[in-house]
Amino acid sequence: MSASVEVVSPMVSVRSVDRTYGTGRTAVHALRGISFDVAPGEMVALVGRSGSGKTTLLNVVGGLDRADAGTVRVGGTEVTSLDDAGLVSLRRDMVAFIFQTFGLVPILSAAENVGIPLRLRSLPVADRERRVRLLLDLVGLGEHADHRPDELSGGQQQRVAIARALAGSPRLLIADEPTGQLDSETGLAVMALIRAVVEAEGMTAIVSTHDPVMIGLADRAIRIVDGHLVEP
Amino acid sequence: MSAGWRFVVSRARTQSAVLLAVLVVLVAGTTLLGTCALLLTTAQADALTAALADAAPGDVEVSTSLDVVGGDPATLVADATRVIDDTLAPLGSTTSTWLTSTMLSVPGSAAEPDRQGYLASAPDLADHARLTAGRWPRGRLSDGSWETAVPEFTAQQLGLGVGSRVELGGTPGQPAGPPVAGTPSAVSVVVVGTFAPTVADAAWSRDVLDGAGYAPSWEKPGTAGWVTLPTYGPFVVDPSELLGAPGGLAHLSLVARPDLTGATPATLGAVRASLATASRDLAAALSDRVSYPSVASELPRTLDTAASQQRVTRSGVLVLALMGAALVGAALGLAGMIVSGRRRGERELLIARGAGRTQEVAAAAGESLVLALVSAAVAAPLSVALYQGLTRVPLLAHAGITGHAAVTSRLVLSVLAGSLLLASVLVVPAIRSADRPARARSGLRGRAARSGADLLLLGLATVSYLQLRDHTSGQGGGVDPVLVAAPVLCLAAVSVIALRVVPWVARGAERYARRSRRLVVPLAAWEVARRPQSTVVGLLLVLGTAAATFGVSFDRTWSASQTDQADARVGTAFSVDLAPLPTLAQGAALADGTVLAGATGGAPAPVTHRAVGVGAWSDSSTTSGGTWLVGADTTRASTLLRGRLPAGQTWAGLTAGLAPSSPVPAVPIASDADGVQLTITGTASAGERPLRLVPTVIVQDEWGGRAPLVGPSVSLDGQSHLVTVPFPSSPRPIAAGLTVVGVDLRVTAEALVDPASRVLSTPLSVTAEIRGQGRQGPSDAAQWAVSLPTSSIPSVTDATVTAASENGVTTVTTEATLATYLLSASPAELMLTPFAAPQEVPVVVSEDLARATGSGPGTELGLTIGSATVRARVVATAPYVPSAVGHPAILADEDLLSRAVLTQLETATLTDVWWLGTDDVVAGTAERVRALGLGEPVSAAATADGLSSGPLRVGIRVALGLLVVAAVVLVVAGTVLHTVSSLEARSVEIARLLGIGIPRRAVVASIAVQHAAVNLLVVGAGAVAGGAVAIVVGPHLAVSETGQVPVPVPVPVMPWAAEAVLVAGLLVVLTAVVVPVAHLLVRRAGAAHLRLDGTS
Repeated sequence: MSASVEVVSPMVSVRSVDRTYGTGRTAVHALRGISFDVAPGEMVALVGRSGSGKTTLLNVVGGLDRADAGTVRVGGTEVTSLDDAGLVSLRRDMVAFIFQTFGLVPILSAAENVGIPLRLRSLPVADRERRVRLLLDLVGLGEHADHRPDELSGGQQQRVAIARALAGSPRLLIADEPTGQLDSETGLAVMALIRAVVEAEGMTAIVSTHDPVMIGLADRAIRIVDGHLVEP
Repeated sequence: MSAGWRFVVSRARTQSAVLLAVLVVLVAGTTLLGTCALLLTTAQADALTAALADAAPGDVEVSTSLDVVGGDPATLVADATRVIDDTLAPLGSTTSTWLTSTMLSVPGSAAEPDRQGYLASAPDLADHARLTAGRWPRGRLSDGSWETAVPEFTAQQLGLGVGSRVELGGTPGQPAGPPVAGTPSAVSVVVVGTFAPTVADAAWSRDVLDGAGYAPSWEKPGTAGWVTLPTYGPFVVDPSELLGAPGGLAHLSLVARPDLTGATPATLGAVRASLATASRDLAAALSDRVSYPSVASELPRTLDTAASQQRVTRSGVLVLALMGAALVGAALGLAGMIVSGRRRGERELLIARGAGRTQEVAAAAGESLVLALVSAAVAAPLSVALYQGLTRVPLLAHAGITGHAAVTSRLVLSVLAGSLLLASVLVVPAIRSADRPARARSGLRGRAARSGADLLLLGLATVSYLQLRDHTSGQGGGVDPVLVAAPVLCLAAVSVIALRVVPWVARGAERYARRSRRLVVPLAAWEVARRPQSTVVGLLLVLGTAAATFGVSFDRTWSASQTDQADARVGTAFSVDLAPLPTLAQGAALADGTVLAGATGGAPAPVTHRAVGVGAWSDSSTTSGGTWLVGADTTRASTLLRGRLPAGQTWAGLTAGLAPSSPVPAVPIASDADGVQLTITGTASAGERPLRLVPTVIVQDEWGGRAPLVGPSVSLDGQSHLVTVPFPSSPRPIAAGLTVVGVDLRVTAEALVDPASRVLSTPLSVTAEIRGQGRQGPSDAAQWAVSLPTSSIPSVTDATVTAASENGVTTVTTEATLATYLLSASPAELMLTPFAAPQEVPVVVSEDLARATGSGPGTELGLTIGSATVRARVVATAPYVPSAVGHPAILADEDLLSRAVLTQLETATLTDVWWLGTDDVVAGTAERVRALGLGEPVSAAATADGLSSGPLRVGIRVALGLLVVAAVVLVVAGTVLHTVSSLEARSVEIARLLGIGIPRRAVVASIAVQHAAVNLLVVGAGAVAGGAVAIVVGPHLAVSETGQVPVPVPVPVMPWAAEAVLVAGLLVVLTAVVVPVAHLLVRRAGAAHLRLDGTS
């Protein structure tokens, strides 16, 4: 009788990724030979000081930036070999970003911001509005659907950003310092929300932070120092 | 270098690109102002020179006329010439002298026992006549007689030829004897040449007989006009002979033509001042040697007219320059706002480090000052270059504006002032940003302030518009402030109001965005509706579009008004004005119609165009020049009369019913005849001596022109006298088409009737046989009528007429009673016509005459035309009468008017002008007519061209073109600046949109749609604003060349096609500008921008 071993493919697989800005003596080596995996449904905290390369790594994983060397796979798709259209499809269908400064379009209401990914898919208006309401209720902002970003607090804006990220039902959630501009209490709440959403939706998440409390909410943490990945 | 300057210089180095963009806008604006300054100064000076160079001689010449009483003729002429030369000394001049002798007796004939003639001399006579035989006189012959040349017509009448000798001398009309004191001794002249005076040469107006060569009755010297004699001349002799004959010179005429090529306002002003006292100076210089010295010139009036036109043009150019300045100001405001936005972080840092408001404003002011100085230094030569380029544009080149311009101190000062003014706009953002925290204006207070400013601007614009509407320019040389301020205020106010409306319209886009399931267009719609648009760029786009739209429309309105004014002023498509020219020979007008028809291939119409008296009413206006009568063939009104009428009216409709119901049943003349042949048989006597009769045949040409041909006098002795009244000489046969429409009979006594004869009245019987064509003429003998004088003591009474026509000979016999005792005072006169005297002449009167006289349809008016008083009845009123704009005027049918005048025994021709209708004018007509020397040709098209593109007027059109181009350039440049700055400001946001999966293509499309929509709104609002101002204000700006309300009143013209092309072109260009900029900036937006978002 032979035993079968189920091999689970990683959701994110990063191998020997390099990224350098500039050339010559002014060159900045943002990433140097980075390799790591993230399993499906796992929430990983990316830890490092400012300038350590966290954002560059997240941008490369999410297809916002291109690696100079190495490979990145997301959900089995080799991101590093995608063309511009492929990267757009990746960001639209598989990956969602949450930015430190929330990244909301200032002239749109909370509901309209959340509806952007759904408009990208040309969802019928009724379905779109229903899902937007659902997502805003999920993040506790159902009563603030018509408020514009400048009418919301920082925590509320970030929750809108989370709802917008979830709107496209991504498989990978990338959050770049999502609590960086929030006070600790609000930041903790937002982080808890992300944790809850990831678990509820079965998503994979990579969250950059240097807040130990936030790190504690992740399944594991990986540390980056001067472009190198080090053990925590 | 102080710390402040070091900071400014250092900052300028790092922000060189944006400052360069600001400098380019500033230089462009300053260059525009500099060019306008040149259009206001250099171009106007050139325009005055060009206008004076093109002026008719009569408009600039100085004429001196005086009667000689005594003294040495040569000294007198020299003294008079010196006075005129001194008067025109600042300009320099050339002088033409014309000398005329006293009247001398000419050997008589059986028909004319007593007659007179005169000598004349003019050094430049050969320029005004053509030798037909022999040569010009040179002096005396060896026997002491003087060489002379005589007009060909004079030679024919006197039976002279080259080699003929004539004894002139003594007092005319007196028995032979010694000469009367003050007259020259008898002089023997020998004809060495004959000549034909140049037709249509105004120089012949200086001749006693206007170059006609003969006058049947001219005042006999010393009789105060009571006695007249047949008069011949001039006998042209060498000037030295006349100047060397003491007592022989009777009249001196000097005509000086100033040299205006280098005229400046200063020299013209000096000449004007000298002319004001020239008559007094002349009288003082010549004292008792002359009588009636006078110096006359139209030059001051010509200069006044030119100054008035320049004033209007300057106002127009200044209006457009101010509009351009407003546009540049808006563009610089945008540039300043962009610079301020770039420096927001820097400013916050400086404030955090303790920098004060004054320091910030001082730095901005210093930077603006440097920019202004650099801009002025560059713009001054650029203005000259642009101006020189403009002068090569056909519009200016054809107007005679030269490209002679240089960087003068005045230009530099103008450019520097404009540059400083414009650069001051750059300081405003610094003041506002420094001021903002202190004022801490709430949104509500801000809106209230803006609304208040809008209302204030709207109020000012309304008041200025009302002033403009009621404005009629005064005289003077300055710029009209109402004309200048009103349009700029109106355009600015309407643009601002239109800009405020844009957001309300944009909000409609939101409803679409909410209902859509897609992203690109809704995102653009949200941007349009919700993104706070820059007021400054909006104002620039609205104002720029409004200015361009206004410029295009106003150009058409203005041009159309000039065409309308030209049509109304000329009255027809083409006019040949005979009035300024002397009548060279009797009946000359008869040839004119035929020659004109031959030259043009059209059908010329004779027109009466003169001032007349209207009853007891007199025009008290000092400018209108009396009431004008225009008589034209109203059966051709639709093609002959020009001038726009109010909607629904036509000249044909207004003049319907003015013409008689049928043409005159005239007697046609044989086509090969060289004159009208009459056989006069009559009896009448006073005492024992038979009376004499002078027949005058009224001949009508093929085109309807009528003129008298005076025949030789015949004795009413019961014998038949065959008389041939010759046609005037003409380069073309003119007999074909000529008809006789009347015969005037003037009965005179050979000598004063002796009261002792006690014959108070005598029967008169005259039979006139008119030999016409060989066939039976159309004349109905039964229709002939006789008209008598209407005086209270008539010299002819109880007249009857009978007529018969057979084999082409029309025989008209009249019987009447003559009051012989009245013949001493004046001849007795009867007029035989193949038509009855009209009871009244229906007329159309101008509205100003109707107002002044209180007349209207049905009112009867008495018109004094020459010696005739015609009863007219008003049948309609018109806003004006063609060709009599600016005058109270009357329009009548030429045929009926002529009939009425002839039956009032006024035989002088009524033809003052020949007109050609729209269908008769072809290319080159004016040149051919001018070559023929018929008169001064004036076409409506050329007049319109002169009004719109003449040297004194063309500046407005050039400035309009500059405004439109500047507006388009500034709008496009402003859009580029704004697009770049706004998209750069949104680069992080764009990166986020890309980050959440929106394709670049979609983002670019969204931006393009957004800008296209915004452009559509603001450009549309600008077009509406510009169009509204053009429609409402434009007609009030299109003043006449003298600054008055034009006739007819201008109507707005909206060239929809041109405006559509302009607006569509602007939208396409603006969108085309946005797409590549958006594409470039979206491509740049990426991870790097996300990193700027504050993440690590």
